[in-house]
Amino acid sequence: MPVEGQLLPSEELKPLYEKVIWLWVYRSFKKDPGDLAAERVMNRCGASTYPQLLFIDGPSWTVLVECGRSVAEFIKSAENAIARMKKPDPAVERLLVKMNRAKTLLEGGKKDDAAAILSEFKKNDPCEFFAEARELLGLVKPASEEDLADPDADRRADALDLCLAKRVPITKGAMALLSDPDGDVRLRAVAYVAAVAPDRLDFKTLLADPMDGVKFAVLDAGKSAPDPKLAKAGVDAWRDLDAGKIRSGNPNVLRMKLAEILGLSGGEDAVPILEAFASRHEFLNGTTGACVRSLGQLGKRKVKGAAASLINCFPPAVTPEMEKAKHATHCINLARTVHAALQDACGESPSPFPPAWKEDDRKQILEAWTRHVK
Amino acid sequence: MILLSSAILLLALQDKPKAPPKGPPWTTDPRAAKRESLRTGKPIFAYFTKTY
Repeated sequence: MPVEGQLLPSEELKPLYEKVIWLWVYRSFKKDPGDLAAERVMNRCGASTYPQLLFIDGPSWTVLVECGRSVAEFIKSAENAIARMKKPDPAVERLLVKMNRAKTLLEGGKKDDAAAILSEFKKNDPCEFFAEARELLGLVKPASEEDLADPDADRRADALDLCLAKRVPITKGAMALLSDPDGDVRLRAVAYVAAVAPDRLDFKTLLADPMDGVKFAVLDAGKSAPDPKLAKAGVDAWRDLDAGKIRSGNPNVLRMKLAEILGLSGGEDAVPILEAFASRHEFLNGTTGACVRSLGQLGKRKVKGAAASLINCFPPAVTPEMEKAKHATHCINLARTVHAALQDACGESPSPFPPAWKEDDRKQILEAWTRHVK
Repeated sequence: MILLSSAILLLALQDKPKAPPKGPPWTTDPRAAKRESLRTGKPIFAYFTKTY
């Protein structure tokens, strides 16, 4: 069901209007303040695709429920999220009254009285009243390196962006932000440390981060140069993902990125992992091709077993059912990718790729490659 | 002239900020949403969308 036009204006959702808080997060990619605020919410919730519908625990930005696209699924998800929320915090109401009083005084020109109230907000309040008070008092200066320790997550994030832009040498304070409670801060900390001192990244810990964005950022940064330490952590992360020890909202993308790293830097232990996935022959899944190409790279580096494993990755011959479902081209493309990866691994080909991918073509190519690899 | 007017109209439409879908009482302020969630114990429903 399309989200806009059908699901969200549905009359059946009316009873939920006052039971949940409706936050519209719109990315314009204009890099203006509104777009940056939206990007931060996305980072904090670990959202990486559009459109995405999530029920969130506001105080922590933790995802409670990923929402379905039908009215019935939406209502069920909302009820589930409502049941999982903690009790309200009565302190927020008091702080809100105080903030509104200060704003009224400011509007009435009573700056000193307002400042007296605003200066009472404590740094550790859970709802950023301290940050808002500082903004109202005009005390916000352009971000600096000192803001790496600021109580406001947005300021810490700004400071990290600044340190990255200026290539400031990594400090203990910056390293600590790799495990910051705020997801947006962690993501920017990874970008900064990966650019300035990549050898200081603890890959195992970061690949187990609850946020996909952090995992993806570590793997994307690792594509610039081979790193056996990252590959070792990548093998462990793949196994942990299979075992459910690592959580991901988009495990397919995570495996695709892991496959790329294993191709670049992996060793013998990467071969069975990549082969197990690629030999499922899921030709509609881009991760299959990524695994095949990585096996080809491993073979090129003469990693034991990589070239031979590719022979198991040839998909079955095209069937009438595949042609009917318009899947034949995808199947042939995967077969072609496996053939190219074997060529990469061996430096030559015993036979050109056949013009069709019928049972006989498949049999001949498999026999040719099996003889060649042995 | 007609072509120029059409181009201007198209550009104006592209620059127009997108609005949330009609119906629910939307907020676009994440800080306000977070406070309201903590104050009331209600979850936030976040609808993530982008310019297409």
